[in-house]
Amino acid sequence: MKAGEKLAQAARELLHQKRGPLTAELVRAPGGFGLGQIPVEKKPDATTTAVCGFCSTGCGLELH
Amino acid sequence: MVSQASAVLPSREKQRREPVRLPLVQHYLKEQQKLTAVERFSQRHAADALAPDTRYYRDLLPLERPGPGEQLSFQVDLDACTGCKACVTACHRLNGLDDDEGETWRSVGLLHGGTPEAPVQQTVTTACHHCLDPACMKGCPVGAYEKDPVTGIVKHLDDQCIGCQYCTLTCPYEVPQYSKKRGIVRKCDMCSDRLAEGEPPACVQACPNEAISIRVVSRARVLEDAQGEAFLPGAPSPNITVPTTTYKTQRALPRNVIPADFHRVRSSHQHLPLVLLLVLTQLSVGAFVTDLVLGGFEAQHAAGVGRPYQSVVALLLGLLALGASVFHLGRPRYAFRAVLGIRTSWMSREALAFGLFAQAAVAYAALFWAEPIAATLGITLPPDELLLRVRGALGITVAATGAIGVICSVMIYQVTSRRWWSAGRTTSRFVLTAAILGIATTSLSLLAAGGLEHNLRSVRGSVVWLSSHLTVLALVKLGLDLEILLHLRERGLGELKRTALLVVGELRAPAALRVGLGALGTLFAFAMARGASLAGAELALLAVLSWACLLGGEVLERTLFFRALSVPKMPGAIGP
Repeated sequence: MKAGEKLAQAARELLHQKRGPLTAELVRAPGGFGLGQIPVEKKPDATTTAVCGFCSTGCGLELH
Repeated sequence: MVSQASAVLPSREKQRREPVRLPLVQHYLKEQQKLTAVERFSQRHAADALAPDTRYYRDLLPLERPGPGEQLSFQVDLDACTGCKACVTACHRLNGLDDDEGETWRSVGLLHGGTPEAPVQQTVTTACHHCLDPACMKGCPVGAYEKDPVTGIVKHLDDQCIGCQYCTLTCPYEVPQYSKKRGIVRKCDMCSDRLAEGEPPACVQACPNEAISIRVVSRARVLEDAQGEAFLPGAPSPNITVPTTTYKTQRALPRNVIPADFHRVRSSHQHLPLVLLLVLTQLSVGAFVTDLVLGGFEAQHAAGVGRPYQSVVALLLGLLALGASVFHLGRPRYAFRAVLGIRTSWMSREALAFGLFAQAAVAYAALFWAEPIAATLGITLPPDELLLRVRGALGITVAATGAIGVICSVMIYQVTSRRWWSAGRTTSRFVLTAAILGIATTSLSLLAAGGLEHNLRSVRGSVVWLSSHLTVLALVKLGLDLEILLHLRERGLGELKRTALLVVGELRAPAALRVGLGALGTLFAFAMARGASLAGAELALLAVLSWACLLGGEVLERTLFFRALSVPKMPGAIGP
C-alpha cells in the first residue's frame, strides 16, 4: 500500500474506528468445553466439578 | 466346558451373591477410580469430542437469514419465564462482562396485578430491543452505533465511543451501560458472533425453560404493532424507538398490572459537567446578546465604556463552559469526533454551533481591543469605519451562533421524549437562564468597567435599566420553576408527579436552596433597579450579590433538571 493510501486509511481509522483494544475485549472465539463462542480472554483451560451450596439441594456444578 | 470354567473362576451368580470385600479405604479408592456413565459423557463433552448439542437450541434459532424488510429479534415466552436469571448470569459470564462494575446487559423484572382472589405475577426478561429507530444510534455524536442492514442487530463500536453517555439518556429502556473503567458504554449485541456460527446467544442457550428465542420479524409488522401500544405493560411506549422484541403469552395479563418497582421514586445522576456547560454557555450567549441589544441602544445608554470588558468576560466564561464539557466525556482525547453525527445528532450540531460561536466570540472581543493588540504586534489597523462594520457583523454572528447553540442544547433533551425535558419546559428554562445571567453579568461588567475607567456615571443608567428587566425575568423564571409543584395534586403517579415528589422529598434541600438564592438574587436586582441614587460602591456590591445568587440559583436549577428526572424504563424488580 502506498504511503498516501496508508495515511488516508490511518486518518479514516482515527475518525471512525471500528477495531481496537476495547473491541478486542469482547471479540469471541471458540471456547471449547461445550461453551461455544466466548471472548478470547475468558477461554477456560480446564474444568472441575463442585457442589453448589446455595440451598440444600446440592446440585452438581461443572466449573470452567 | 462350563464346569471347567467354573472350576477356575467363580460364576457370575456366585460373584453377585458373594461380593469381594475390601478394607474400607481400598473400597473407596476403587470406587473413585471408576467413572459413572454421566461422568464419562461429561468428560467427552468437555474435551469437545462431542459436537455441541444443537437439538437443545435448534428450535430457538431461525432457520433462515432475514430477507428484505425483515430482521432478527428476541422473542420472550412469558409463560415459560420463571425469573430464575440464568439468562442474566449467562450473558454476564459468556460475554466476559465486568464483575467489579456489576455490568449487566440483560435484566429480569416483575409485573404484578390481578385481584386478592386471583393475584398475578409475571417475570419479564429484557435486554436490548434492537429497535427499528434506535435512539442510541440517532443521538450518538460520533457514529459509534451501527444497525446491520440484514440482521437488524444494533451494534456498538467500542473503540469509536467517546463516553459522552448521551445514549444512556436517549434510550427509553436503560440498555447502554456506562463503564467508568473504560470510559465507554457497552451493550447487548444479540451475541452476533455466536449467531454467525449458528450458535445461540448466551441468554437463549442458558434459559432452562427455553423462554428466550431468536425470531425473524417483519419490520412493517413491528411498526404496525407499535400503533397498538401493546409492547409490554409498564414499559415505555413502543412508538418512541419501535422495539422489535416480542413478548408472547397465551394468558391475558390483568389490565391493572404494574411493574414491581412502580412506586419507587428515585433521583437520577447529577451530570455536573453538563450542568456547568449548560449554565455557562447560556450565560455567555446571554451576555453577548445583551451586549448587542445595548449596542443598538448605545446612543441612549452610552454604555460604550463597558463593552470591551463585557465581551472579554462573556468570552472567558463561554470558553470555561466548553472546557467543562470535556469532563463529561469518558475519553475526551477523541472529542474531535463529536461532529461526525451531524446528520442525526443534536449533540454534534451543538458542538459545531458552539465551536463557531467560540471562534466568532474571540474575534469579536479582540476587535474591542484592536488598538492595544495592533500596537503590541506592530501592525497597522484598517480604517475605523471598516472595523466597526466588521465588528457589527461579528456581533450578529456571535449572537446568532450562540442562539443556535442554545436551541441545539434544548433539542438534545427534548428528543428524549421525557416530559420533564419537554420542548416548552426546556426552552423556557434555557432561554431565561441566558437572559438572566447574561444581563446580570453585563451589569457587573459595566460597573467594573465604569469603576476602572472612573466613569461610573456613564454606565449607571444602563445598569439600572438592565436591572429592571432582570427583576421581571428572574421572577418569571422562579414562577416557572415552581410550577412543578402543581403536579403534586395529580392522583396518577406519572412522570411529572414523580419529579414533583423528588423535588419536595429527596431533593428538597437543593430545591429550597434554589428558590432561596433565586429570590435573593431577584431582590438584589430589584434594589439595583430602584437604586438610581445609590453610591457606586453600594451599586457594585448589589450587582455582585445579585450575580452570585442568581448564578447559584441557576446552577441548582440545572442540577435539579438532571436529578429530578424520573427515568422511564422496563419493569424492574422489588428491592432497593
